[in-house]
Amino acid sequence: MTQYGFYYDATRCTGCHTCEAACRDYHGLSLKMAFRRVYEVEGGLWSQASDGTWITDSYAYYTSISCQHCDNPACTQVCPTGAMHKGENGIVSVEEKRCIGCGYCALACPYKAPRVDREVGHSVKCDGCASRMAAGELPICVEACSMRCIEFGSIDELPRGTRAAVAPLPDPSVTQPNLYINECAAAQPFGSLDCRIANAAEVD
Amino acid sequence: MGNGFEHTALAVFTTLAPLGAATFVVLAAAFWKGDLTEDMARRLDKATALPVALVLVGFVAAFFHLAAPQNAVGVFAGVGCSPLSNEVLAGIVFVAIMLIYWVSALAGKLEARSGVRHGLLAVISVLAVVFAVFCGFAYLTPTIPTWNNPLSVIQLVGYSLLGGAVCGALACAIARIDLFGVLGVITCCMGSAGLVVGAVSFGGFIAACGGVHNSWGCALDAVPNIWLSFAAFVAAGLVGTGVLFAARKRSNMTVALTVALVLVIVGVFIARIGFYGLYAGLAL
Repeated sequence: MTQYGFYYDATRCTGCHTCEAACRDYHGLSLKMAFRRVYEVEGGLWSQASDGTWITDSYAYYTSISCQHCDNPACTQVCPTGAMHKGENGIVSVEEKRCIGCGYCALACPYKAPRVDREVGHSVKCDGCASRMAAGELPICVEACSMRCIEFGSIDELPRGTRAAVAPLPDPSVTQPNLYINECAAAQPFGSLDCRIANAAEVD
Repeated sequence: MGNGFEHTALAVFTTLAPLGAATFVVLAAAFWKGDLTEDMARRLDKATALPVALVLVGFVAAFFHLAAPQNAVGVFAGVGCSPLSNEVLAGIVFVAIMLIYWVSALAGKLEARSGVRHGLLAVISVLAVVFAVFCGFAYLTPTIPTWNNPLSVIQLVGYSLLGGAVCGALACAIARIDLFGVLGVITCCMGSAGLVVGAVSFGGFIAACGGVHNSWGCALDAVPNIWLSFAAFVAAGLVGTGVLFAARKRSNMTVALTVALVLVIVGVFIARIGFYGLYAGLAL
C-alpha cells in the first residue's frame, strides 16, 4: 500500500499562515474551522549578566500541521461507525453518510485534526485535497506555500527529516504520524514544558 | 481547551441515565423483600415512571449531542472495537429489558411475588451496573491522559449508586412504601457507598489531573475551581444520604426526598461538567 504524507521544512517557514488561509479558502471553511493550523512556539528568557548587560536565549518557531494520516490513527480506533477510515493510499478521511458527529475522533486525535462541523452534520478534516489528488494535483496548502516549506507525496519519496518529534506535537510513537520535519535550530523536543504556544487564540 | 460546558449534553446523559438505571436496584430490593401487596406493587410500578423517565431523558440528551443523529443506528458497527459502541449497546440492552419489565408490570402481567418479576429485576439490576461501567469505559482513551484513568469508570458507578438510592427511595415514597427495616438499610448502604465511592474517585481523579501537563499547561488550569465542583458534589451527596437516613424512621418524606434527588442530580451534574472540563490531549 502506498502511504501518502507530508514533509515540512521548519527552517524555511516564516509563519505567514498562507497554507492555512489557502486551505480554508479552497474548502470553503468558516473562520472557526481549519484543517491546517500553524502553531507558534516560543520560549527562553532575558537575563542580566554581572557586567549589567542583557543576554537572551529566547526563541520562536513555527509548526504547520494538518492531519498526519497516521499509521496508527487514534481517530479511526474510537470511531463507533467506521466512518473515519484509512484509505488505500493511507489517507484518513470521513465517510460523511456514516458519520454521526459524536466528536469522539476530535477528542481522541492527539493532533486535534478532526473537528465536528454541526452545520454540515459530520466530522471534517484534511483529506489531502482528495479531489485535487484525483486530478493529479498537489494539496492546496503545498501549492500555496510561498517558501516551499510543505511537500506532499508517497512517504517513501519525500525528503527525510525527523518523524514529527518537536513541541508542541505529541510523541510520534503513539500514532506514528506520516509527517516528517526538517527541524529548525530552535526546535524543542516533544513534551518539552520549557516552551509555550504563543498563538493560542489562533489555533485552539 | 474548554470548561466542560461544551459537553453539557453528555453531562446530562452521564448524570441521568446511570442514575435512573441504578434506581432499579432499590426497586428490586423492595420486591425481593417479599412483603409488598399487589396494591403496593401496582403503586410502585406507577412510580417506576420516575427512573424510566430519567433514563430516557438521558438518552435523548445523548441523541442531541450528535451532529447527525439520523445515522445513529450505524453506531453498532463498532461494537467490540469502539468503546462508544460498546457503551451504546450496553445502554440499549438495559433500556430494552427495563421497558419490557415496566410495560409488563403496568399491564398487570407481573405479580408482586412472582419469580419472573424477581428474575427480571435481578437482570435489570446487574445490567444497570454494567451500563454505568461501560459509560465509564468510553473515556478510557490512551490519547486523553486525564480521562484515561480507572477512576473515570469508578466515578460513574459511585454517582449511579448514590443517585439511584435517592431516586429509589423517592419512588417508594411516592408509592407510599416505607423504608423501615431491611429496605431502608439497603437504600442507606447503597447511597452511602455511592457517596464515598463517588467522592473518593472524583477527588482522586482531580488530584491525578494535577500531574498531567501538555502544550497548554497543567490540565487543572482549564478548570481552576474544580475543587469547588468537588465540594458541591459532596455537599449534595451528604444532604441526599442524610435524607435517606431520615426516611428510614419517618413516613411521608416525599417532599424531602424530591429535594434530595434534585440536589443530588445537580451535584452529580456539576461533577460531570468538571470531569469534561479536565479533558486534556496528549499534547494539544
